[in-house]
Amino acid sequence: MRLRTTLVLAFIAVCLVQVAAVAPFAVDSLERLLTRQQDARIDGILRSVQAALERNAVDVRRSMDELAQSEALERVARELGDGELPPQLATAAQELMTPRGLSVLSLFDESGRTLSSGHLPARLGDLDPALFSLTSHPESVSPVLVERALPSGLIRAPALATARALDYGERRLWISGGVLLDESFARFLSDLSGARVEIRAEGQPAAAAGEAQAPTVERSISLPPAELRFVFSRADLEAAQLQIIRAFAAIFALGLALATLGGLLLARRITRPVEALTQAARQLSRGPASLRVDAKASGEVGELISTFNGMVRELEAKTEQLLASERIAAWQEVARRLAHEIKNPLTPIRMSLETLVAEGHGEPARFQALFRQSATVMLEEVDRLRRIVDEFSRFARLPKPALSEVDLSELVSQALVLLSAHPEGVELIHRLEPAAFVSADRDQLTQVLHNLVKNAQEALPGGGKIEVRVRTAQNEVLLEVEDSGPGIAPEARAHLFEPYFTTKQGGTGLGLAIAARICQEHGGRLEVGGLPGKGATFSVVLPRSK
Amino acid sequence: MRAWGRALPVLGLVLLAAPESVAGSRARYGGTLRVALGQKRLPLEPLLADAPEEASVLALWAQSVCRLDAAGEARPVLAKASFPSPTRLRLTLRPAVSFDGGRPLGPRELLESLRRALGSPSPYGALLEPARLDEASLQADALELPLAFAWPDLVRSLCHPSLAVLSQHGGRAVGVGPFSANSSPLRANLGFPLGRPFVDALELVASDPRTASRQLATGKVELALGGVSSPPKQAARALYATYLAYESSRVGEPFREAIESRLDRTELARYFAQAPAVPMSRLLPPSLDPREPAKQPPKAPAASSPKPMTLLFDADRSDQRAVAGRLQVKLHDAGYRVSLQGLTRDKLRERASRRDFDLLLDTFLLPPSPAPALAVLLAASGHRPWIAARLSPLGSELDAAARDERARALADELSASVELIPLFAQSLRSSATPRLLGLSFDAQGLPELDGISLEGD
Repeated sequence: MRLRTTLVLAFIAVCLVQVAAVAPFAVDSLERLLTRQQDARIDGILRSVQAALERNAVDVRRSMDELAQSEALERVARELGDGELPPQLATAAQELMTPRGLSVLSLFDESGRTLSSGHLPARLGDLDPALFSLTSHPESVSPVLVERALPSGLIRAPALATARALDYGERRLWISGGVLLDESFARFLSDLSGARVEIRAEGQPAAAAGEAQAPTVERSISLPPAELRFVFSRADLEAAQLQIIRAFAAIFALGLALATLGGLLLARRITRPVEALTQAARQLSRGPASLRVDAKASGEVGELISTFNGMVRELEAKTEQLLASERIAAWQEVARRLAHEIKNPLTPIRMSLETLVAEGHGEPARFQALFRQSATVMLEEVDRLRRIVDEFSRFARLPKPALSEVDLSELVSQALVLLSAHPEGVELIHRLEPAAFVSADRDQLTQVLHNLVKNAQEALPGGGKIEVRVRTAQNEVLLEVEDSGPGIAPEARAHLFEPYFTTKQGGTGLGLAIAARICQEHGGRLEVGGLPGKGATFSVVLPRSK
Repeated sequence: MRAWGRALPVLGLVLLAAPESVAGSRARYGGTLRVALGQKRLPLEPLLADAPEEASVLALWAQSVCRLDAAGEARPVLAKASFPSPTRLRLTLRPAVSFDGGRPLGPRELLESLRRALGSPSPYGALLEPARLDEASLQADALELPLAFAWPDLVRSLCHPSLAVLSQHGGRAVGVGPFSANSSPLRANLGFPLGRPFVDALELVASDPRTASRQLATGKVELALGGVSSPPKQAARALYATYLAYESSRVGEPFREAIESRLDRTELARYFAQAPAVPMSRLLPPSLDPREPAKQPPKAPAASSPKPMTLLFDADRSDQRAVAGRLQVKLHDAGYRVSLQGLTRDKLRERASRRDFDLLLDTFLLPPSPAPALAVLLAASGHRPWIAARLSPLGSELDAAARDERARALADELSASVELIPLFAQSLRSSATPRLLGLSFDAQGLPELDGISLEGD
């Protein structure tokens, strides 16, 4: 992994660790705080409900007191007389109940028989033990279950009720009345508490109002035989918690973004000198170059850059010295070889001249014969000297290539036509891939091909096979000349392209050196392959024309 | 003619010598009779307009073939009914009778009207059960119907208001009555076969019991029908009978015993039904079966976890709701959970005819003869085939009193099999101002409003 990536990741990790360490504790603390606040609010609401129930009880007591002393009730008692209930009084309870804000009212005789019922008129004439039981403690307002007729059937519903006695002559009437804890009361409590309210009687739901979104928490107020159950929603609390978590997430995301940005900037600052050093080192590894790392850095990295630049300067100086030494050595070698080459013809020339000097006073006929023979030798050696000088001159003065777009296959095909007269026993075959375009000097490449084919022919004195191939690689075009000759000894390969190195009798040792130089001038290279005893392969590798 | 010639001068002298009070109470023509009603629309369907006040209003514009007098004898209105043979009924139309709007009433119109009633799922179709309308023969002024069995009560049955003769004219139902329904207030029909009514017009005023009493007291109406808060001054026969119909396959076997043993019909009639009402312990109401009330069975044990039931009732009648509420309470005590559902009368009858109910509070305006009344009840309880099978032998009894007695006995015999629990019977509650003269009731318990005149007009 790159240093810059590592540094950025390290920054992000530091940021993550901090948030991960702090967030759970903060969220948990806030959650507990909010829960405590909601519990306190619920307790307050339940106290308000208790107060509302007490107010209802007071209202019921006041209404029943007023009813017990009202003229309307006295008139009912008077009309009732001693006989049967007159039909028109069957609805008396309903008429007495409604104006006083009561929702439960029954008139009883002393035996507990219902004379009139406001909340359940159909109960007339029947006993109603639950409601009549209030007459045993007439002053208190108590929760009691009363029957209600709903479209779905008769149910027992809770009510807050009390009883009062009315004595009329010899007769005593009882009135039991109060308020139903019904849907409207549930709605009132729901509005008061903001909760879903269920009023239950004997464990069964009798009325309900409001909604409570999940999740919920339940509380209840017991009013035996009834129960008020409050279902408070914790959705708001959850929403608040969610909001806090979202805030943390936003902070985390922001921190992450800042950490990433900061990490990138810092890593860039740290890694830029290192990358410059790396780049310079990579460039240096490809060959000596005059370069300097000028990235700004301080501390150890700055010292490293300074040291690197010093090392490069040192390396340049050493390289210069080495190159100068190599040049001197090369010229010495050239001079040595040139001297050797020149020296060789000089010896026969000297010997011929010394022979002529020695025989100058001898028999003229013999002198004439020696003269012709010596002159012939000397002329041959002089020609040889001239050829050596010409080759050297050509090598030294090789012109710059005149580049043009050339189809190497087409060039090789034309050049091989001129080479059709090859020695007996040598078979020349070629395999040329079309459209192998290179940017090249036609004459110089033709010369390279001639040199390579000629060398191959000379390597096959007893006959053999020469194969010339042109093929394209990804970005290169290869011209290969392969022969079936004896191949090249490994120790000769290292010097094969050096001037004046030759393994042939009478060779100048400049042919392959010139060919290698032409390839170099074209931006390519000349390579040698094959195994000893299994032939040699010379490959001209040139960049493919785009 | 000679006898009439001698009697007329004598009659004239008697009238001239009559005291002033007699002359003052004589019916006089003219004026507008204002009638307060509990309902707010004119009843248009005789088969559904069977509440006494509805039937009374219906009779204003659509009469049946005949009308029963106070003694229960059929008086021809549109046609005279006779039996050429025990199994043939001949209806001879009065001459020149025409529907409201002018279309003449002929035998074909009469047949179509009867066919409509007989073919309907209404229990009142049972009143025509013996008649084979498909084999009717139409004559110029008469309609002759073969009968499946002898049925002497058929003539009186034809007087039932649910069999009012109707025809379609201009997209509405038209009938023949003492008043024309084509105007408001209703105008007197001068061509009514029994003679024009005394009043020129009749105005129907929608009201409620308290308002109606106040309107009577202040003279804003002369007559209140149905809902009045004051007790009635004149009693009519209680033939509007209410039953609790049940479907035994839905409510289970012990249901009848459970409810009968807990039901106090006297209390129900006194406190929950609209007065005047009488408890009904037998299948036929006391006015048709005046025997001692049947004994109440001993209290049956409460049902253990029965399935919930629905009691259907007529939402148009306030006392039906109260009665349904009382039944709900009593059934609750018997262990049944009953929900209440109010339906319009047509929906109620439609559910009843399909037997699509658990419990149903149904009320019928029974004809004033036991045998036809029993036929209606058998049809209402889904036993219409029993009319031919069990009731037809009664037709061979020519003595009316004996026939009625046999019908009562048969009603006793069938009552346990008929899924109708009798509750109470009501009569029309009406009240009138002293200005109103000549108010009388027929054997059906309905007022004859065309005989009313107004004092001083």
